[in-house]
Amino acid sequence: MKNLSNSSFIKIIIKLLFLMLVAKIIGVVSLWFLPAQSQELHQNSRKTIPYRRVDFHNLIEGNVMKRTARVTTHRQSAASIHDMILHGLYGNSSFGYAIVATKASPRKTEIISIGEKYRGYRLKRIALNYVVFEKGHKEYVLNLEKSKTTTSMDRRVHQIQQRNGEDESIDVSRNEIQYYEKNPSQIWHDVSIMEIKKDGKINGFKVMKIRKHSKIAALGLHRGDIIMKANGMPLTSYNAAFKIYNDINKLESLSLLIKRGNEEKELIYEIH
Amino acid sequence: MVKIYKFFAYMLFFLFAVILFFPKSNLYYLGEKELKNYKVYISNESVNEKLFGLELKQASLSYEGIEVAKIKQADILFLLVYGSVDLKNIELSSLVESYIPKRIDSCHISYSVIEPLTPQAIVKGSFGEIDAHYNLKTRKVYLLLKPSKLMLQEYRNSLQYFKKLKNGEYSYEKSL
Repeated sequence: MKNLSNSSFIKIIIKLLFLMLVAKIIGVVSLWFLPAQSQELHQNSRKTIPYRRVDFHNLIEGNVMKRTARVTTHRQSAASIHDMILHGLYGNSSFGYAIVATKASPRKTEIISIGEKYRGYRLKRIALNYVVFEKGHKEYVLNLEKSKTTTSMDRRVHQIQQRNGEDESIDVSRNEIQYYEKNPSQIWHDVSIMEIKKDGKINGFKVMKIRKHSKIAALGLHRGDIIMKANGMPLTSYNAAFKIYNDINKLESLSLLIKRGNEEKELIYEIH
Repeated sequence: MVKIYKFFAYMLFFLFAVILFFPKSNLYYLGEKELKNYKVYISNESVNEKLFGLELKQASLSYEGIEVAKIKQADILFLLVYGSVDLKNIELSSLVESYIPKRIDSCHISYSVIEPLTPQAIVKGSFGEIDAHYNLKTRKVYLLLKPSKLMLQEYRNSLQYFKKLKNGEYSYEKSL
């Protein structure tokens, strides 16, 4: 027994156990310095994309409900504009007039042209079936009133040439979107985009190439256009761009703010 | 001489013991924390510690908040002289489908003390095979692609970023 306890074998075992103990202590001590939890990606369950235009497709289609003036603004709505009714309009973004009244006296109409004020609101521009007022650097959209007997289109004095104005509204079939969903390689065959950087940060995406007569070319984008915002969201990262791409099938409408030459232009898509 | 052998033997035993008792999952979390600085996230994975490594299952890899790949299984081996990451059954996001086929069968990333400055990777998938290495000193990444028929037929556009070699392979080099 004495020989066994003095044997070099036992000494080795003791040394090994000691080393294991030291290793274990190192492991335990390191727990103090190492993170205890995994880094998970917390996706903000897709914020609803701010969309500040009126869905006038629904407005035109639904011909029974009489709508009161609805104010759509990305900032703050003014209480008094709710009291206004838009009876008719004529013109385009830079020229024209609107026939407005108050709800209290709907028959007492006034005709105001672009630049003129009505109850403190300056008429800024005229679109297909709504007008944009401005007050205190805020924009207010006043939709054309619908009645039981007439559609908003009937009461539009003159059909403006939408594609010549600042805002272009383009109807897009959901089938076309699904076509690109099923054939994602076709997207990059038809269009090529590249990020534009300003001070080292992404500041939009430039259309480098667009295939003529493709479905994407029909959307009104031109070569050299810089897409700055989508639905009001600045495209300052690939993340922002891909989120729009991922959500495109859920959207009913999409607005793109583009820079074409020195001009900024808004392209509006109604997805049906 | 015997003493020197004994010293190295004890040292080796000690190092293995350190690896054995080291909280490997916490070390992995530290790696994840570092990746977070580059906006790279590995999410939803189950982490199992093994004797000298880790096993991850059903991991989702994201960059800048966009899911770029789903990895069914990953085996990470921590040895001081050698380390490796084996990824199996990777499915890339549909976002990259227009550039390369979505399916990647395996990806083997390794480093060894013999070449500590050039970790290497071998990736096999329906696109073919990529032999890659990264030079930590020059901060350059080198890729050598042996494209599959599918890659040559349907993803020829992506090959324009590569330089074609005489033997039919493609090479790519970029400073990071």
